[in-house]
Amino acid sequence: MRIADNHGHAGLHGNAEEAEYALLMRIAAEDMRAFEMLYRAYRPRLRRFIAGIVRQPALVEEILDDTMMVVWHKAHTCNHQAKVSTWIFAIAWRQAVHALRRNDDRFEPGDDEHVSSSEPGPDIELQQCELQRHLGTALAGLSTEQRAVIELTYYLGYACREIAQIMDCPVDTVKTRMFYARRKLKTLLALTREEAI
Amino acid sequence: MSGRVLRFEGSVHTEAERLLPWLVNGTLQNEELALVQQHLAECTACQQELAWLRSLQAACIEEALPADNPEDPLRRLRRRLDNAKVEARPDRIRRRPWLGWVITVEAALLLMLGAALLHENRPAVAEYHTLGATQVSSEKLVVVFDPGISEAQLRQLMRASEAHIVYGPTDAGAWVISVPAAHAKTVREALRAAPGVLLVENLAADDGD
Repeated sequence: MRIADNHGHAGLHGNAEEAEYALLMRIAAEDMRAFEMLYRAYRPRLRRFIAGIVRQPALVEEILDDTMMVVWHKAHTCNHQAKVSTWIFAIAWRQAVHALRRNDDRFEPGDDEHVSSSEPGPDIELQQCELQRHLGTALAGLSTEQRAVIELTYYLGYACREIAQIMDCPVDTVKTRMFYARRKLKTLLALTREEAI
Repeated sequence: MSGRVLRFEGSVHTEAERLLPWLVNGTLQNEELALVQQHLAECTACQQELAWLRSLQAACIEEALPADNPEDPLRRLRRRLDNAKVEARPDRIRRRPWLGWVITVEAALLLMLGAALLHENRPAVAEYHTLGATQVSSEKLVVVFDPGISEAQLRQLMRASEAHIVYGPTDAGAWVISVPAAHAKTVREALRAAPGVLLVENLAADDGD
């Protein structure tokens, strides 16, 4: 069974989706082997997603464990309307938000209203290697929600509508978060480049 | 969230530009895909933005975490699950052991009554089976679900157990379900361990429990 390619892209169709759902139903009947299979399949993507959101290594394992605990206890509640992966990442998102709020309010809500409206010009076009080098620093400057949208879109390959399901918000909110995330990333990348010179 | 939600019913350029990230990740479909593709053909700014977003996606994918061995964290999680299982099992039936017997007997009586009525009403015709037909034998279990269980949860438990409901609910909230005899024992144990299930008893007298 897939459960995802190395980049974790969300496209999963037909039989593979059915197989994943069957696995979840076995977990609903407390089948530990099924749980272990799901854990091994999802751990790399969940770890990357959570690390991308919280940017605090110490919290990643805690949130991942909490997420999989919820998967174990709530597998029976996953209705077949949404993809299994969407359901699991929605749990991970909620657990990450709870954990950040628990830990000294390190959850940084969207600061969309405070982003400068001046769009950086075309001179911020960084070469691929430069972008690669500074991306981590720039991502740290985004809000938690903006980072989640970036991770879910570019790393995990989710559609806008699916991201709305995962983050439990309207589709327009996802587009708004992405819009400001892109703008802020450009600004931060330009600043990072200037500092590096 | 503190931010304003932008509405995107503005110009075609605005709408197309907002959708570019999902063109890049290949999830755009139908009208939105057509709109973006058509606009891109004539908008240099969006073409540049698209190139930048493709670089961003490549950089995001490259920003990988070092690989790790999942077995240690999995072992830790299993211990945590074991502890949680002991703490969280619903205990209502265990505190009233007689209730299980009452429910089982009630369900058995109702099932026998139902079978007798069915037998009375059935026309006296012989049953024929094709040579290739196989008779799948089944066993009946009495199950009591937690009153808080959802219909979806119940349906999923049935599907996972390859079970179907024969009768219920009784006044005491019990259901009689039929499961393939070949793995009746496994199903019974799995249901007993499942959250939302308070009681599982076998209706067969030679169950051995």
